[in-house]
Amino acid sequence: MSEEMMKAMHQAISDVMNKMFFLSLQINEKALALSEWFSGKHPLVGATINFTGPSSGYSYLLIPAEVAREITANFLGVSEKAISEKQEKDTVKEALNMIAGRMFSQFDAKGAFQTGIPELINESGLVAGQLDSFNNGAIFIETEHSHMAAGIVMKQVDRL
Amino acid sequence: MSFNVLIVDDSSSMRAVIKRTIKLSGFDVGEYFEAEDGREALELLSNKWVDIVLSDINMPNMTGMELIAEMKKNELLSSIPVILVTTEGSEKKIQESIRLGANKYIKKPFFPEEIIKALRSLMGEEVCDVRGDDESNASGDF
Amino acid sequence: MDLVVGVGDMKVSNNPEAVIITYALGSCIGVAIYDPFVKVGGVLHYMLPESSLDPVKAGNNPFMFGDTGIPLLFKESYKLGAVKNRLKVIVLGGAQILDQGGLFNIGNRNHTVLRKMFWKNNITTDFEDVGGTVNRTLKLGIKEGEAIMRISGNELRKIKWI
Repeated sequence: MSEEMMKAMHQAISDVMNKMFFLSLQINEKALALSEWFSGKHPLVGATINFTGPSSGYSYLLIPAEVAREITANFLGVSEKAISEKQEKDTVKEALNMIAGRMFSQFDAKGAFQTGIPELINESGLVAGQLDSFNNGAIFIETEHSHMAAGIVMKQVDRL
Repeated sequence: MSFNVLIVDDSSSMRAVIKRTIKLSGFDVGEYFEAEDGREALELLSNKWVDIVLSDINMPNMTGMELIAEMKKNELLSSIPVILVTTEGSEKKIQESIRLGANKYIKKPFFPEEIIKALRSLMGEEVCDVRGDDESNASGDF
Repeated sequence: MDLVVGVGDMKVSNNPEAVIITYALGSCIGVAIYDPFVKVGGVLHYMLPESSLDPVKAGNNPFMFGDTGIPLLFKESYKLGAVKNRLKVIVLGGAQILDQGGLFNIGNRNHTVLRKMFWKNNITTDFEDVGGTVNRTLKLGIKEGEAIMRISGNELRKIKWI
């Protein structure tokens, strides 16, 4: 992931989580391993969204279930008691949809990239043992009471 | 006179957020219709009275752009105003959607006031002087 | 008759002679509300987002925090006859002023807590001017709901909200 893309991703995460989910965030520059980052915070909810264009890959978002509940309640403007698991999962997908969209809006003014439809990550993909394969390029996010993570995985690298 | 709204987005939570926003606007909305994609929206439009459409762009089966294009081909649907509410933010996409016939373009993430302002400019300022409410979803305390 | 709202303070009035003023909204948030039908208005100036940061202080002065001050602003205005759906709302402030070593940007946090509460309570704003690095001052006249804003030494600006 280029530095420009990373910067745009940081800004997008902040903009979206602030504006639509009312979360104040801080990026943690020191964390290194997703398994450690989410230790004690399982179960997680996660989503991915593909993109194509000059390069292709996918973007992902990982959130502890309790934070997913919180952001869903904030998003819908209702109490946490009133929301369903279905709504939580849908909200996490939509959060990533907005983050990826916002990131490419900033990074890709010409509209060369195309994002797909967000999908949930299977539970088996979210266990601690699986997470560390995404450590490279992961963005470690602190919320006021918990952690999140997001990132971009490139499938192809353009060679000049 | 009340008017009917069609909200098109593959995210059910986003549809709920847009619906709630419109309720807060104070507009006299008769019925809210919802569709998961452009194809479902088009089916709905063919047998329900809809006065305004709010639609995402990126959706399975039929995108928001394709929906607008189809609406413009249809004499009965071509004059229904469409507000695009979408993550697509490139200048290229915005120009393309306006060329196709979208009336307003709102980027996600958005403040509710942006949607309300867009509605007012399309449906008339004088129609809603008082804020609306969403009793079904009230979770606050003032 | 000038009613000054200090930092961590709130005033409501139905006195047509009253002009409510609050100064130096840096990272603080100023909320002004006005019901044009009964001519009742109020201004809140809060400094911090959540009372959980200091529950003892919040007990002594709920207007210091957004989550305790905002409900009180509205409820006090209802006591004077204001009706929620008729209330016009202005939000100013939340600037990025040098924090005292705070982890998160306090101006932004102050604004976020307001947006969260407004959404939950079905309130939308009629005018907002937040962020940046400027200082803002707000004046609200109860007679007609005239609201004037000044930004960091620039000329006065009449706000169109009613």
